[in-house]
Amino acid sequence: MDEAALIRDAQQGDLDAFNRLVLAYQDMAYNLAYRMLSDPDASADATQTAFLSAYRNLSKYRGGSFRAWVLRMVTNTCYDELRRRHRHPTTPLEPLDEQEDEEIESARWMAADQPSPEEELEQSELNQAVQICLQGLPEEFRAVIVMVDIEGLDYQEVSEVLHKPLGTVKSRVARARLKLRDCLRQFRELLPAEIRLQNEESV
Amino acid sequence: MNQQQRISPQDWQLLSAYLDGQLSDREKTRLEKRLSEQADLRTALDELRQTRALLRSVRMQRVPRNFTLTPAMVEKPRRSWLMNLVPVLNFASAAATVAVVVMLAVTLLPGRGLPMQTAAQSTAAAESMPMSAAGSEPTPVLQWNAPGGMGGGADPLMEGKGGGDGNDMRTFDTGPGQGFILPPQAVESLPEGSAEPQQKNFTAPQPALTATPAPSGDAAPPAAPAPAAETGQPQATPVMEPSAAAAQEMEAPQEPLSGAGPILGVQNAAEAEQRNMEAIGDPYTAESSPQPSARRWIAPAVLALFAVISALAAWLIRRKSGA
Repeated sequence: MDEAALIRDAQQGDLDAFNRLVLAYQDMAYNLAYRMLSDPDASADATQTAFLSAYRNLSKYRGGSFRAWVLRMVTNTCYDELRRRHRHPTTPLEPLDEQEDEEIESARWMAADQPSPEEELEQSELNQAVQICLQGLPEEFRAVIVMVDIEGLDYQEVSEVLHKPLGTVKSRVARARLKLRDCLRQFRELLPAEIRLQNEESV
Repeated sequence: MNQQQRISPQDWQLLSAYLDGQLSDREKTRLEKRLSEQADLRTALDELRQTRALLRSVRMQRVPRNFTLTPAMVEKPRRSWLMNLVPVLNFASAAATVAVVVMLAVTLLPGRGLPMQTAAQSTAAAESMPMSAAGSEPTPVLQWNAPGGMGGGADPLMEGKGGGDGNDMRTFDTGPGQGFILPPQAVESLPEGSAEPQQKNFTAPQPALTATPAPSGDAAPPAAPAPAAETGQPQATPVMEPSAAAAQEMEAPQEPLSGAGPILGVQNAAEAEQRNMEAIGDPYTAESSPQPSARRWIAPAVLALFAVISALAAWLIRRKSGA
């Protein structure tokens, strides 16, 4: 796929060309939104909104990494959604334990959860542990670490996405990893065996 | 935890960047040398590596659907007619703001109606008025010995305007053309309670005179008691209780202002009534200002309100339209 040609055609109003770009980047866009928002429906909405926004603002694309440009749309949409949530808080996503009447963010809740086979297939324990720990990070740190460690972007691209200096990205990645390391320790039993063994050795 | 404390934030950042291959050759060489020497640093690097590996092992979520766009989705929403109002509202708001600023600047310019100046002019007019207004009236004889004095009380600043010092027993025999009238400002400046006694102690032999009530109601009752009672006891101690005096003051507007006014006979009933009404209002503006100062602010206030409402309306329309 000649990405530059597709972008050029899309800029001239070719919706099919743009949709081919959408198909190329929708996994990355949706996963970033999902890690940011931790809600499949909201993530799907944010992804759709971001692509629509990208199409309408395509004339403002001035070259560079198109992937970074699309992810910037996604990140901004997620920030908007998170701000909206702060203004209009709703019920927490985590289920409440009826006996203890408190939010459960522990490994025990996940271990005792009764996922359907589909959910079990879709959401591994590791996945959930990472997701919970990610939600404990500040939004800026979360976006950076998801793009670097989950989506595989390099620092330069993340710097383009966020319009932040390279040093800021570097610092945020390090601090996010440090926080995630501390958080993931409580899920040690749920982690894959090889990682658990490594953790135990190091501790 | 101890290890985390031993490793500085800069070192954590170096280790993290080292894992991602983001260090320069020089930085990399230096760090590797330190890693070979410091076990803590190696442990920290291992932990970061494991965390990174853990994050990278998380599988990507499958998209619930395709996010391709349809022509209907990308069709620009029809511009609401309300959106057409936005530029108008913006302009109106800006214009009103400029107008408010200009009006305020003009109002507050020196010599253009400062409230202080209005007050000064008003006071001057009030002070000069007794002389001119009572020029042809018969002579009232004013006598009192109680603390405080007419229009001045014990306030030394009010000396010369009929005020006593509160200790001396004085008799003021005003000559022709020097009738007394109580300027509202002067009465307002009286010390509290200083005016009441004087009302009962002066002598005013002219039964047809008219007194002017004080604007604030705490000073001079408009009409003194009957002349017979007054003239017979020119230096009598006041017998009226404060509450009684207050009651009399409250009733004052209903009482006729002429005929029984033995005190400050300078004005007829109509004039007195007019002055009463002025005194009840803003003492600064009632006298000489052709336009009350309160009204000066009406136009800027309305314009400012308009500016705010226009801006708010434009903002709301934009927000509702998602623009």
